Amino acid sequence: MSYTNYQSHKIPGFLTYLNDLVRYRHLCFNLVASDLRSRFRRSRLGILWAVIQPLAYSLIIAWAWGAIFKADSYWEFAVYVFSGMLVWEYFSNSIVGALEGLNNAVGYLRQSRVPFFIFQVRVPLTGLVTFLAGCVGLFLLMAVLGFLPPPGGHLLLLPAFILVLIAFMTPLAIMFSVLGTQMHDLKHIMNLSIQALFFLSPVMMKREFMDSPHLAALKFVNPMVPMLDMFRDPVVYGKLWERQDVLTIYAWIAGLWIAAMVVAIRGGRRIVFAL
Amino acid sequence: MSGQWPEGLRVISSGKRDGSADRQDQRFTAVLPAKVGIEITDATLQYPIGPFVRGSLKSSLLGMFGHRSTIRQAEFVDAFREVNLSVSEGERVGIIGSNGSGKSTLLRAMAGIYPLKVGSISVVGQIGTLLDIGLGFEIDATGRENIYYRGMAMGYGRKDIAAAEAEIIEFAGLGDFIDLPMRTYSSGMYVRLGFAVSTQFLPDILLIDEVFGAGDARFADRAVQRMMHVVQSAGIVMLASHDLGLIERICTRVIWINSGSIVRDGPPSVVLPQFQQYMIDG
Repeated sequence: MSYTNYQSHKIPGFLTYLNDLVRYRHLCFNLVASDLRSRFRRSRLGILWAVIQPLAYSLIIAWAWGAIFKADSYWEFAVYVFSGMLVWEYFSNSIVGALEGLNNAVGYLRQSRVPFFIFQVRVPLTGLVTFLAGCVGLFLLMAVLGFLPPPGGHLLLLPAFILVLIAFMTPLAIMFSVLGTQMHDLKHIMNLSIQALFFLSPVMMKREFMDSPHLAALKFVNPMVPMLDMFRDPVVYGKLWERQDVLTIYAWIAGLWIAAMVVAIRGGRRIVFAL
Repeated sequence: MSGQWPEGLRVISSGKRDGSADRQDQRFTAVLPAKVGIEITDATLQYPIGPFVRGSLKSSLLGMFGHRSTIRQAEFVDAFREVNLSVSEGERVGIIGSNGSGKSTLLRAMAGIYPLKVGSISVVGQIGTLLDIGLGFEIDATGRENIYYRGMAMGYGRKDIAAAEAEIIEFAGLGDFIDLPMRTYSSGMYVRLGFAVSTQFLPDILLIDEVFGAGDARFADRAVQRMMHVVQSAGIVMLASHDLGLIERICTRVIWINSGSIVRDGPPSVVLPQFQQYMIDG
């Protein structure tokens, strides 16, 4: 059960696949740009909504939860929630979008042999642009409030964090895009699961709660705990990453990539029949 | 086709009818034609007619309480089986057969869209497809933007598409609509733009599924002329159609598929009358 095109594929095996990805890279980037344009088309504020939405949400949550948890500083808590919302929205939107990633690409995939990967990374790459716009808003807010940590080596960890975020989100997007073609219940299951995970992650819950003996295991079981730490430590607190967070998230990334490869290889091109 | 492929190029078939892999036994050395060619060996493709995996959570839960009949298992049919076919440069091959005989599926397998269950397909040459030209558009993007997306999905680079952009727009004849989102287009306008892009670039191997004209009467005449130009330019044309007159006019060879198997393969003057008689006899 082989298919070989000796015109476009002069190299064997996995290299063929990489060759295809390079060949179709422009399609991928243009579809990401198209998604961004269509999301903000006919909107007066455009991509500013990527900042306004989590910021407004953070201000409201900080006001409500700050009163409940008796936070010392309203604005400190607002920045905490804002930074958490940026990472969380990227994560949750990418998962939900990935579930329909291949289904939405049926028009392409049933007409020519385009690599599935192009459409699997489309959602997380689009989300990444929104995430980066949100980061600019976060820095501006912190600058206005005088919360920016002094410049230092920790700032180099921000681009490193973006790589970690992509390395973490890509295998998830691959898996959920494949499973989304086959399990129509998954959309509902994931909506519930994401909501549950939100309340088990330090997005608006104070990080100290995660250190309590009852919730200590969450630091390893829930990858969003170290992920949020690795974003806030350099950006909000001006600190370097903690070793435990780094090891935990690397283990998650390795595990997710293995799982994604298994799902992708088992599905193969047969996935197109399910579209 | 054995003996026509270049020295040193080994084309490997990795599957047997029973699903086991035996690369050593299945290997053959063949000489590829100078530019383009298609070699299909013992190809079987199974198409799922039920759900790809078990349907829903509800059916699984019902199954736990003894309602096993409610669980629909994945079922497959052989869309085509044990197909062997060689197509050389210059051939214009018509594929005929009744509905559901496997014509479109065979074209999609040749394009590498559908995977085989067993057997192999080897292709030399860049493939162009005219399968569902009205599909595969970003409806929130403009027609102009979609020219690029469609062209890139066909494997062309931005420069190639930019060079052809004006000609595509002129041929599609969409006027100012070209800079409006495609959700404002009529279904005919979708087809016109899809046709204009898909036929702009001249592939080595052209796979056509029933698409030979498009749009309203005025556009259809231009579309047929353009198709004839594309057909004449391609190294190989595979045309699946129910229009026997069109096949007789264009093709140098006809393959008749019935229930997933090739039952006749020969010149149009021989195969078409046999097929017509078969259809009359029922």
